Amino acid sequence: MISQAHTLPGPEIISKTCNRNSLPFSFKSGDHTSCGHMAKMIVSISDMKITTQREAVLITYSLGSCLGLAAYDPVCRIGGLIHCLLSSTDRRDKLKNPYMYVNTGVPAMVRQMVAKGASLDRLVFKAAGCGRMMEIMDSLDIGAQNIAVLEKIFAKNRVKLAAKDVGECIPRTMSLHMADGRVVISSRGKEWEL
Amino acid sequence: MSHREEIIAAAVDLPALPLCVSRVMSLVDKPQLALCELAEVIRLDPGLTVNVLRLANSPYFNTGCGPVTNLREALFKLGITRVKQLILSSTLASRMRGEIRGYGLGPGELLRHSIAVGLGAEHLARHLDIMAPEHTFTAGLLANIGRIVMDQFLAQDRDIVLDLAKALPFEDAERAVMGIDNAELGAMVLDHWGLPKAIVNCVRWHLNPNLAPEVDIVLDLVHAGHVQACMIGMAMGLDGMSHLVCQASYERLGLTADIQALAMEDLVTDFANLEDLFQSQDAG
Repeated sequence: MISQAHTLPGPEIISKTCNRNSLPFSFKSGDHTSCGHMAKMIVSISDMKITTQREAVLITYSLGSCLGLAAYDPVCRIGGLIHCLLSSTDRRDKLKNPYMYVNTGVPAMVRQMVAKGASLDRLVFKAAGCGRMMEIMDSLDIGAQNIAVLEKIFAKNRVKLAAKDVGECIPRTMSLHMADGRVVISSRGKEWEL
Repeated sequence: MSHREEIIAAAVDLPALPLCVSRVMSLVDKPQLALCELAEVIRLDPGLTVNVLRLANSPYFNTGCGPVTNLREALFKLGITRVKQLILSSTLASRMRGEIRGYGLGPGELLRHSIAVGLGAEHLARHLDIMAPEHTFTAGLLANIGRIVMDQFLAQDRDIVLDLAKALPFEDAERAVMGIDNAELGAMVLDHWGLPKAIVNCVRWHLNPNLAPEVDIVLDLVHAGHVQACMIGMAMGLDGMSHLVCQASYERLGLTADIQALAMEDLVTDFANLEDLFQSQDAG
């Protein structure tokens, strides 16, 4: 299990502190659209969604320096996708939206997936985003900080990142296909599987 | 006609600002302007009146004391500075809602990105304890206006520009292929519309304040707002993060990692309110 050093209060507390739009399993109007036989579930900035729907595609657009992290349990077919704006916060008690940060959002997503029946041992994690503006100072390079915090959390909990597509200046759209667990990245008219 | 001249010709062909907006803008430049005088001009235009009332009643501007039901009350609540910003911004916003296909931006995305730049510049100023001059938001909102014109030309040469932009800032790639970049073009459009030089100059140099002839705090704020909007990924186009960060600007502002993080948190949290406001505008 993800260590307590990077865990959040349980879902019952999350539901009291999050605004409605950022609650897991909630669907804002317009963020759950049907595309042919696929149900597209849009994950906004500082947002997270979990699903067990086999026909669903979890998708997050416009990853700049933000981190997109997909998690998928191929046995239970539970999938989650989070879009974190920033790497970390120490204001855990006053958090309005834990999904804004890697150090609070990722553990929250994992705990909720496990609570739904996923196994941490089986979860396949793939990361994308964490882009870098040209000539940005290292101290302000949020993309590098986001992936560094994720890797630190994973190392501490002996969790393996199966694949990543991070850095550079390109915008990325990331999608998790629930039917088979594929994670697809698209950018500038091209797409590839992660 | 060269490619550059062809693009500039298209820029000056854009429709001028509506007459009523020009009148309001000229009135609010009067130092001793009374609110009632401004109200007399605005009330003659039903569209503007509705917009001012809507803005005064929005959650972003109306923070209590019940609904604002008449124009004078709305102007009193918003103040002349805000009214000037809002009339111009909402009018121009209506021109930024379309699809900007050349840049890979869907309907409304250029506006979303532009709002993020303007709002981001204001948030940064607040967190940096800088008294942002009144045109900060408007300059940020207009920073990407050149893309409206550049769009059709970029669509033709997009692959070449994108290829060059792997190693160069996107604006340098635009200049290399088309003879002009979207910031220079945007400044030309605004100059043609008669907007104040302070705003025109911000738009002209916001992608690289190092090249500006003079140091300007609003320019630095708009540049930082633009960088922030790109990093957050607010309706990013094909250019993505292929833009420079001007270290000298950041040093002048005293922008630290903590302040940047706070400003980004605020921007994402507040964004929805203001975006809804502009998306529902119907001015111009």
